[in-house]
Amino acid sequence: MTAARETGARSATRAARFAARHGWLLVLLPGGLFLLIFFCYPLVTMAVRSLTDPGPQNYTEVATSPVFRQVLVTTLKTAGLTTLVCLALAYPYAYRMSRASARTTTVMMALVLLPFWSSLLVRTFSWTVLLQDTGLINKMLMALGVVDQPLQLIRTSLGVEVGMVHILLPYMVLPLYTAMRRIDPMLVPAAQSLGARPSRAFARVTVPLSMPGVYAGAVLVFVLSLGFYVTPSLLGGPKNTMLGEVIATQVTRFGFGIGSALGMVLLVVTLVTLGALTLLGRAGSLARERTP
Amino acid sequence: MSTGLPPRRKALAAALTSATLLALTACGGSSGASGSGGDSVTVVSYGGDYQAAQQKALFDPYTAENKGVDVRTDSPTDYAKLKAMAEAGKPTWDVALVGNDFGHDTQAKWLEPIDYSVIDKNSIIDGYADKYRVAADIEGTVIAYRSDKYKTAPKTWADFFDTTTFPGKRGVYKWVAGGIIEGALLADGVAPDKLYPLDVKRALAKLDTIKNDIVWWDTSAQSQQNMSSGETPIAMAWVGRAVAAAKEAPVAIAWDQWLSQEGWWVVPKGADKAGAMKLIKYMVSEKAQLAQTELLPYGPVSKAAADKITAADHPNLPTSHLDTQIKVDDAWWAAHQDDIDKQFQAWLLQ
Repeated sequence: MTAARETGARSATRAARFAARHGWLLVLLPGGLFLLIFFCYPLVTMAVRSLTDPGPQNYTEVATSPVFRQVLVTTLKTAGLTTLVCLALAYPYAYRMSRASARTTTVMMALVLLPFWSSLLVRTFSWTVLLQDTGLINKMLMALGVVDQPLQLIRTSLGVEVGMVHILLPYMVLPLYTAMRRIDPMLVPAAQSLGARPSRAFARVTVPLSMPGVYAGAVLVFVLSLGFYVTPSLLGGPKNTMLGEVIATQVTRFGFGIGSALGMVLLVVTLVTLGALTLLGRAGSLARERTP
Repeated sequence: MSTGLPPRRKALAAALTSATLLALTACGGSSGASGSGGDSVTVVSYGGDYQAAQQKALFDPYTAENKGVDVRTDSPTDYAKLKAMAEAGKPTWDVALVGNDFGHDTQAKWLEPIDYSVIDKNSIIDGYADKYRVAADIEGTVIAYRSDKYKTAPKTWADFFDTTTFPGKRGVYKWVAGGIIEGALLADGVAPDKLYPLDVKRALAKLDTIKNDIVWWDTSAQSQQNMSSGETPIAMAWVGRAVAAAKEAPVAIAWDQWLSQEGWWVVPKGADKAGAMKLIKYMVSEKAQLAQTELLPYGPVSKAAADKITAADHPNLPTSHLDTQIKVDDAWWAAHQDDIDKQFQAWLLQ
């Protein structure tokens, strides 16, 4: 009786120890299952269909068609430009935010997060209302006599960039802000006390230390840009067509084969880009560690 | 005591398993519409206002007249889904509304032939009852324009391409089989009865002349919005959207040269054939078609119904202008769509 109870107690302790040590696995289970069912399974199905519907010639078609090649180049160019513009706009903003008083920081943070509260579709449609030939901007310019023909603002690369940067800017500001917040505020005065001019102190201290944020923001914005669909479709012209639109057309009009192959191409391009940026980021941080 | 913790873990595991199974059945199951039942027939259409009108004019009266037959509905029609269901041999849809690009002999393996011993072919306007499809309504792709922007009214496709007399951006459907190739050839002087096989190179060369004036639309809602706002004072549009835009702005329709377009009923292979044919027979009947014309801006396919509707009362109904209709060759498109779309897409990106 006592022995039995002892064994029971011991196994209970063992179970408790197991739960304590590996209990976190259970926490991962729902998320893991979710990914497995709703992400991995469709992904594998897509890969299989790209090779079997009707066959691997889907990839030959994708590789040889001038349309898909041009669209892929446009997609990469648009994503790259969006990343650069976001970086240029977000960097000073995040810098100011990281050096501001608590109240200003809150206000600036709210301004960044505000767009998140309305849908992407609504914001893109709003841009069409502003940018189109009969839109607010052109009507105002023509009423003021600045121009007598409407400016071509929509259905251009400009329109696409405006829309995409507007949507993606928060994804650049937030990682930059986090990185800059971690920089010791005494480092810049320290550099200046050693004789560095403010610009030099900024270039040699702030910029290198904010690089993790630049890297994280750039990856986030670039990868999100690659999959953009609605914004280039509404604000761009036919020449601004991105891969997402072509995939949608293929799937709705023709079938899953080529659409799946294009999806796989987009996935591989994204992974390769991520890999390249990771290597670049690692090389950058190594180089920084070596510089005195 | 010794099993103090394990049962709880077991319970948790069971809960997780059942949750997983639940999730799996939730995505595997259909939308609840099960066809092939004796007392019910399932029909799928495009949804929205269009299907709401069909519900009122067609499905509800059918249920009322045939006590016990339950018309179940689903939306929207999805060709990929229809094909997959027909291939699996168990379609949940008995009747499906499709566009001009579906229901052809080349797609026979997914469809049941229409049974003309049940449906009276002679009661339907000529050309609207085919082997695998019966027209649901007569629509149209038209040139619509802002009557407040032009002193003289544009009439033909040649006018649509004439940017000197009719300046402004042109709204065009960004879909190769949507009618723009035919429009370009008509504008270039090809006779309506000599359109097919389409000379795509010639059409694209003609389109080059207005390429910078085109505002492409992907959804018909965009086309309507652009007509109402004046962004495209002249546009190629579906008649329903042109009529809707006319309620928001002075929009008129050029009926001198318009392209055919319809909705069609088809029966997926393996569906409840008897039930489906009976429902289609009712839906194309004079009574049902008259009720439908009251609610939708499209013309009836029933000869008797068309005779009762006067052009004077319905100036913008496609069936009031059948003499100026130019037939789009759906079967030709079904066979060549892939190739021509490739040329069109390449041209778009140039």
